[in-house]
Amino acid sequence: MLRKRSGQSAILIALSLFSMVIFVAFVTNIGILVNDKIRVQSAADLGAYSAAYREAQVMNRLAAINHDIFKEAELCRQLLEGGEPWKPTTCDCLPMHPLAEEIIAGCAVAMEAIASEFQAVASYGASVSNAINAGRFTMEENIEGVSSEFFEGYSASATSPGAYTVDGVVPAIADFSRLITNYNYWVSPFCPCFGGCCYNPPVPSQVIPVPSYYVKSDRNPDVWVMAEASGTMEGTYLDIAYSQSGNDGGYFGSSSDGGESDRMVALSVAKPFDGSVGPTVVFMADGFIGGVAAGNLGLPVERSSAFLPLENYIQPTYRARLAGVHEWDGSASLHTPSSTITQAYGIDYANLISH
Amino acid sequence: MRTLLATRRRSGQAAVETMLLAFLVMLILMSLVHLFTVTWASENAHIRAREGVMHGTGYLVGDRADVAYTTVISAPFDSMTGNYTALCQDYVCPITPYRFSAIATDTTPSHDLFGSQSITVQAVIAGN
Repeated sequence: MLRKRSGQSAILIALSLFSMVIFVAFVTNIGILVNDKIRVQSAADLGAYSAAYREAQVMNRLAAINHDIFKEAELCRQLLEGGEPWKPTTCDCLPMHPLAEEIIAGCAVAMEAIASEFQAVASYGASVSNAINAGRFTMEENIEGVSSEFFEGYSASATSPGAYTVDGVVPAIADFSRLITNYNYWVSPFCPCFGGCCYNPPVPSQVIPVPSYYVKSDRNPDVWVMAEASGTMEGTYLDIAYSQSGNDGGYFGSSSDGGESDRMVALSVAKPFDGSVGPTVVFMADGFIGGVAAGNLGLPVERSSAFLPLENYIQPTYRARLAGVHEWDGSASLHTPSSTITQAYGIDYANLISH
Repeated sequence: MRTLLATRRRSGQAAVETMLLAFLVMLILMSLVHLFTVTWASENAHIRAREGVMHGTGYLVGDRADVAYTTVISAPFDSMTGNYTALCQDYVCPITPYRFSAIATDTTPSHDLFGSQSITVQAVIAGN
């Protein structure tokens, strides 16, 4: 009847306070978790965007250089058509017209000089490495000390040292190949058959193939960059398992072993888009553009008029955009987010190469 | 005497405990709300800064977070497309350093529980 009840409320309050402090800590950790996730995702997005923007710059530069080559090729054709080689007034009975040879040789030298610049800009160091550096720089600007990683596939990616080459120079920013322009010029079929200069059978022209401007190997949007940002909890706040001996903190006071289980990871994919370095081989193989023979694959560029519609496919108007934000697939092997790429592009990159 | 002791008034004890606990619970709840507003404001500022640096301020509405957007001449912004264009004029397309950033500040309204707070976030896209 007289059992002491003093202290009852104290116990109750103590228990309640303990629960509430735990609850507040829990909510605080959730806030930190959400905040870190947003920051890491932003770093991944901005890093990928920056790399894609650098690639856009490079692609535009490539388009501009390709345009220079293209104009040289067009000029060469115009010189052949407009001058003596195309409309000879005399029959010199030579298998090749000396002036035409001179014009084509000069064009080849000029185009080769510009092509060297194209190859230099498209080289790995000038394009891919440069873009990755820009991505890393951007991530570091947004979160100091964040871990960054960039991925590339076997082929046809922004970071492609893979299947395609640019005149034997690998790797390149994308899978370009060099178009062979066939220059044909007049050889008179009406030379008198004396002096050993009669053509039998008579030929209307001679053809000299010259490597000219670049075309893409296919139509696919094959330039992209995939970035991963990751890190561990920055501070020790409410992280009861934090160790200053080298391991970073873990969320919710987890194991804090500094391993993958403690890491916040975000992925992002971006790409340059909305431009065109040049026509595609597939497109060229279709044979005709605007009713004019397009050349390549054995077909000569017959007239300078063929260049006019082709020029529309050289557009230095690339810009960058995010291609998508993707969650880390925990079931995938570490640093091989092939499922993400497969989902995004329907391409099975079984073994991505990381940087 | 025994009767007096046994009947000492204890009828208010529960009320006192309840009031005390209610006060504590209220304090805790206010703390949680405050933590929520901090988290909310932070995410709002981060997302708006990110949006601002990538697409300008065209898509941002409301006064919860003003975005101060900066860019440089080497990274022109195309307001029509809401995106950056790499600098090209007449087939001259240099590869240049760029840096554009946006700063978003989220300031809680005055009717928030714990006075005012201001969270400022900067998002940067740069390549040197």
